[in-house]
Amino acid sequence: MSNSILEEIITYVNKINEVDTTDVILDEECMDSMGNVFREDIITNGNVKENILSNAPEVREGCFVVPKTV
Amino acid sequence: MDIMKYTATELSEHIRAKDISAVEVVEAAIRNIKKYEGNINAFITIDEEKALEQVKRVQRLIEKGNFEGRLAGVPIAVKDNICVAGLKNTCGSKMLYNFVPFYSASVIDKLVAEGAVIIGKTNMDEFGMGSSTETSFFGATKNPIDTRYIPGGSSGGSAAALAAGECICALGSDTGGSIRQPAAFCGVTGLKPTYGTVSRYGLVAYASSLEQIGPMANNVKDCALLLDCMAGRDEKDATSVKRVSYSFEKCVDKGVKGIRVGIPVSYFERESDREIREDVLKAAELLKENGSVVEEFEMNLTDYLTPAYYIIACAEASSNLARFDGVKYGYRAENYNNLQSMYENSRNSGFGEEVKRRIELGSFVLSSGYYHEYYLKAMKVKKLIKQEFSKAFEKYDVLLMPVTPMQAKKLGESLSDPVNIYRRDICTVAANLTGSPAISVPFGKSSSGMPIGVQLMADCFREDNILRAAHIIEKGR
Repeated sequence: MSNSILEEIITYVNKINEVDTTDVILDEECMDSMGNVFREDIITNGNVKENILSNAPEVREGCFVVPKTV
Repeated sequence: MDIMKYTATELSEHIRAKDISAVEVVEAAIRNIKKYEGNINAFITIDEEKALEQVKRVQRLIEKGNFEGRLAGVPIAVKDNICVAGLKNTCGSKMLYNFVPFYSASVIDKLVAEGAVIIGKTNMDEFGMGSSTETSFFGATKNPIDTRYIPGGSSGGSAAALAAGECICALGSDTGGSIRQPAAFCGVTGLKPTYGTVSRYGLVAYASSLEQIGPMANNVKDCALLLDCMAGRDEKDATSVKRVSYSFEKCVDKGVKGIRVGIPVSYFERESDREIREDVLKAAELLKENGSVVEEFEMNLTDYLTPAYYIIACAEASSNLARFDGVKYGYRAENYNNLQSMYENSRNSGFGEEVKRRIELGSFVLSSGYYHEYYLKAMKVKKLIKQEFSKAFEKYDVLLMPVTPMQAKKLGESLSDPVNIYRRDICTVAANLTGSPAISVPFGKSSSGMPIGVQLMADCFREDNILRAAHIIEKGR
């Protein structure tokens, strides 16, 4: 990755620091329109283990295979 | 009449009335795909056999006489980041070159229940990151209007497939303009719905707080019909909302009498194309002739739209794309000595340049030393931008503006200068930052013969206003 391009992008996005945001409070931002969403904890997708493993690059005995980690 | 020239509304009516066979329609689409794909490259995956299987099922239901599906037999092309069970879903990336989902996105289930036939998966900028469909691992898509030009992006494959007559409707996704900008460049209509209107379940995430799946079609009414069929609260997407009304199609014909239209002039004062500017003003005249009140106004903070957008979008991308590790799905590098090098080599060779650039920028703006200066600051600026738009929507029902400041470039002309590409998203990213609905509707033609679109934007949950105005503009072009 060329560092000069990334630097150029960072200089560009740095422009937002011209905006005065002293009085902006973000606390309510994430909850502003809908509040929290709950549902019952019920399993709806059944046994899909084989399906999930079907896209893995390497599988053995029903598990994902990765290089030795310990 | 050429079957592929019908609108989705007409076609499904004819099919349900048994004037036209659904099979005939899908065969016509496949014929066009075979004829044009060599030149255009709009699709990554075409599954003729599955499409025919689906359409025969629809036709059987019609024969039985009990099928009311509003999209009966309508061939639809789907952007390759929206999962369709059993069809490869690559996101235009080497990273997912062989990924086959075993489930469909909620929107796909809804469209299929209405009788739509999924004809294939369309090309896109890798993971939606680009505006030309040139960053796809599967090669660039060309603009069917003139193949020397880009189709726009990232939903360039969907827009090109529509313009080439390879499908009747298409799905795109819009994170910063990815439905509207290619629609404008290919001369088709594309709508980004209000955030939360359409379920994102089954859409591969790029920037979750900004993106929506949306309809693309050859006319406004078909976009409304498609949105009618796919909108709604979905338990599988906690950000989807229950809306008061979903009758989008019924709004289209209501005219614009009394609709207040604002033109935010700051969007095209500098660096904008003269022909685009003229077309926006002509569209304004048209709305005025039809009873709208039109006025120009100044909007603040426009210089900060794309910088704030790129900080937020890339921050979310860096987190969302962390899941691609060469373990559970997708590409794994051939050479590695341990877990760390397997991650590194897989990600390094699985992602293209633009995706890596955005992950890098996103990781930087979220890093502990810079979080306040960039990410948090961008979120605050986003809030101010939202307030600025709320003020505008107190005065106006619809904002009329360009889709892009510049016309479509020729293939290969734009990739070398990322900052310049980002800058050109100025007219589209506001709808994503504010969650508002926006539509791109074709209006004029440039002196080089390429389509020019205009954009209409409304306050959240007011798709009705942009659909009404867009229909007047399309009738008057």
